[in-house]
Amino acid sequence: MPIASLSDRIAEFKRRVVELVPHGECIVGDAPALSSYGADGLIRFRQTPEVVVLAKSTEEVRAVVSLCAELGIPFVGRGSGTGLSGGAVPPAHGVVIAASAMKGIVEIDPVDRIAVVEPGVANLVVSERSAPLGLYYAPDPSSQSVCSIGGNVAENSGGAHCLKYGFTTNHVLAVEVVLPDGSVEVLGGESPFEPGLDLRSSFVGSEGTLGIVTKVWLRLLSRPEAVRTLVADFDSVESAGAAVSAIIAAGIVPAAIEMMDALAIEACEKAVAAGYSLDAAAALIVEVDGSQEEVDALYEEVKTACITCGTTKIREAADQAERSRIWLGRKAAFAAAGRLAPAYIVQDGVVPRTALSSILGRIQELANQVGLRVANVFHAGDGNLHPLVLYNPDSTQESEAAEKLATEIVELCVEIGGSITGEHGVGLEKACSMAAMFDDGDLEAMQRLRVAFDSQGIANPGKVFPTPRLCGDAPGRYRAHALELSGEAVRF
Amino acid sequence: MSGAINADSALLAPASSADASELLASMEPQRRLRIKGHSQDPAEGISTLVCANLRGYEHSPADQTLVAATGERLGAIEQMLAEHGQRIAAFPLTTSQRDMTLGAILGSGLDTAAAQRYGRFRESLIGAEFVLPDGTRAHSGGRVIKNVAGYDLAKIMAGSLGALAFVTAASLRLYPVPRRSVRLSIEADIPHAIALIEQAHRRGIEMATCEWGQGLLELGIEGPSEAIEAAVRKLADLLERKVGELELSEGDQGSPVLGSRLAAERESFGGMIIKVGTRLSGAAELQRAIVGAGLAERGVWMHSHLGVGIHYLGLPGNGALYGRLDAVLRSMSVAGQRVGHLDPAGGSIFVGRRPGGLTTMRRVLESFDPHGRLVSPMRTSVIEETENPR
Ligand SMILES: Cc1cc2nc3c(=O)[nH]c(=O)nc-3n(C[C@H](O)[C@H](O)[C@H](O)COP(=O)(O)OP(=O)(O)OC[C@H]3O[C@@H](n4cnc5c(N)ncnc54)[C@H](O)[C@@H]3O)c2cc1C
Repeated sequence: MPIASLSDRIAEFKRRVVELVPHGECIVGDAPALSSYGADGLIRFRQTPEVVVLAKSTEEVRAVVSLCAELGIPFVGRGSGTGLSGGAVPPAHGVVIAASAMKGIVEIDPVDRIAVVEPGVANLVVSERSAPLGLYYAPDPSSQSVCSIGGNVAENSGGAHCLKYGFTTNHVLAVEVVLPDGSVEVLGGESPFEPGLDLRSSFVGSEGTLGIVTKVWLRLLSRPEAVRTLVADFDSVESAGAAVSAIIAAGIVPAAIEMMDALAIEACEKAVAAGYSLDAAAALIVEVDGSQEEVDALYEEVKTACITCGTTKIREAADQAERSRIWLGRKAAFAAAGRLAPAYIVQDGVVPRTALSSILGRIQELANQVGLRVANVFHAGDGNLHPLVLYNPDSTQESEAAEKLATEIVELCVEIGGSITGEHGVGLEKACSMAAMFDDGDLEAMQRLRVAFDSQGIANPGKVFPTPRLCGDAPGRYRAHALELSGEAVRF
Repeated sequence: MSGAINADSALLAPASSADASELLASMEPQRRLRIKGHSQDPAEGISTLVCANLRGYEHSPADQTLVAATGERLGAIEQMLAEHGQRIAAFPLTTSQRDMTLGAILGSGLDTAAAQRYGRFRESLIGAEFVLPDGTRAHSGGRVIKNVAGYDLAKIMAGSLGALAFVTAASLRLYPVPRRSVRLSIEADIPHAIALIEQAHRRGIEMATCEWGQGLLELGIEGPSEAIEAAVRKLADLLERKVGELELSEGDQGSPVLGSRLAAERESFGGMIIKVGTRLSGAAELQRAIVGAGLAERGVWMHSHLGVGIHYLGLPGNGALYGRLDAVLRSMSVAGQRVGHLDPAGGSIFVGRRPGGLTTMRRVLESFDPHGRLVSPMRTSVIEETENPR
């Protein structure tokens, strides 16, 4: 157990870390450089780290984490820094262990359809490198050209095509991890069955709080033979929602069903001119893929469902170029909101699919009450909404109202049986909203997993779990865990 | 508590998670329990906690989700869903699997042929409610198919053999019953079967199931009729046969389906069954090694969910061949686990290479159940492996 003061321990860490990693892989004392690792995609939260290590190998990560453990210094893993919940924000007086330089593709096996990659590899690179073999990696976050596989594992990231193919957790066979005590373990195996407890499943989506990912075994899929994409316009979000339900009720699982409301359409059009109709109240992007025969059959049924539900116009992607243009618009939606207002909050909540139209009405009411505008884009097939709350950052009152509205929206999602986050994670941003979804017992069970991995509480502390420091009054009664009582672990 | 349960009884069958919580909280820490799907023969000094009385479900057809108490039987769930044109990602089921409770199926880590297309059954788990051994009630996940709030504690319960908590309800993602399903049976040894699967993938055919056993490969194809017919034509091409010469059967259920026939055989098998995972191509090496070690001639058999590399190895007799199989698996760095009727006192369930993460598994088990109240072959084996590595 460390006994020296925190500042002495940090000084000791700085002295020793430069001996562990080669010169140039460690940032110490360079304030501007350190500061660039102070935030992720959610720039509201910022904390300058004491040290940044740009690790190149599992061995380096192991050495640095061991030193953190020995000196009781908190650390955070970092990929590309595109996270939208403040997950990669360094803990106070902490160390950033960036995996962004670990970009090796160890193996792509075309027979077994497995890729073994280092955590810093960008999501899209896996698909690009697998493409000559007729394979690809299915989870496709909109940030896929930049975000790292390590970050995807930590966040259990999703994407437009996850409705049919599943989320990151469904595509990760195994992870090599450096645990917070510096030991290295492989969780999972090369087949989806590995004996013992399924620790892999709990590690995926743990937001860097259980250790650092240093290698990942991914499941690849064969590229579908055919893909067809359409955009269907509607004169209300209700009829677009009804079309989503009709498609699903017909027993079709499209590769993607995305919805945008009028404000979101306007933003995307202004940003990338994807050819969306500016007079539509809502638009659906529906994509079906599979064998040519399957696609031909299902595509017609999707069109019929849209027509039955009152679509005002259907635009069909005639070729790959047009399909790319349609997706470019959708994937640019977050950034495009900047065309509508000087600032915006990207929210991420989930409701049961059937509640989509009703929650949009409620969001509109809440926005009207405080005089703010909200643009909505969502992965309609799985009920994952991304309201974009627009505001003027020069007005303190508006900024505060926007934050409050964004929180109310996710808590509304919980109220109607959904979740505070579908893909962006809890991070720092939603730690206080966890209590809306989980009670004392739930959080206690999660803490039991946490302490088993990290008895000192040094892996990305302050994230995911609501703490009195973050959230004011403790959200729930504190009960000491058996390991705390015996002095084997501390809570953080 | 409802008062219906006597905490001193050897068989404890709470009817709600509140009852289970109260029951567990009221017990002495040294009280030993084992978690089962339904009543079992009594065990000396150990009470049995069963989920059979936990009943009820909430099905949201339009959201394609189901929240079910773990005492519900799989067959009843399957039948109810079929009326709505939906199913769980576990099929085909055998008669005895249909009779099992959802809790038992989850706890034992069931895999079926459906793993090929839908992933292992645990992957369709979107939430769980459970009671920790000290009576703490908790849930993880929820009832929406997309959700990353907090740790996923639902999937870790799957296959945990009752060593972590008493699972009282589970939320499942459902899937539409396909318009049509056909099964194509092909006589093929494993190398040939692997080559065929690879070629099928290259031709853009995604199989729904991919089972191998008794020298037969059975491929399941699902979807609209036109798509199935096209896939069958392509497979006929690959096999250099005419469509009319292929052995095809309609439907995804029933005795002709290799997957359920093999599963039924496993259930009635008197010997020891080991489940192992390999890459797809690793199946050929595994089989060669079994033959090479003289195990095949001693009656050791292999059944596989071949496309996903999950295999069952049957060892006839009283375990005399176990040591030799263990050596074979180790030499290939393949990890296995005994399945079927497991006795916590019957030695480690692990066979072959040590599974990854054993040290953390032990910490997790001790964190969830610090007093070792839950008697489970998972806990006994993990402790044994960490203390006395084989
Ligand atoms: C424009 C835009 C669009 C987006 N669209 C989507 C989308 O469609 N779907 C979606 O799911 N997300 C989306 N995101 C969010 C983000 O891209 C994902 O969460 C992504 O997985 C983060 O990856 P990263 O490499 O940037 O991770 P970072 O931001 O660096 O880190 C994210 C979290 O992962 C942890 N972490 C990173 N690397 C490791 C590691 N090696 N070991 C352990 N922990 C690690 C960090 O500690 C942190 O908690 C979007 C973001 C942006 C900016």
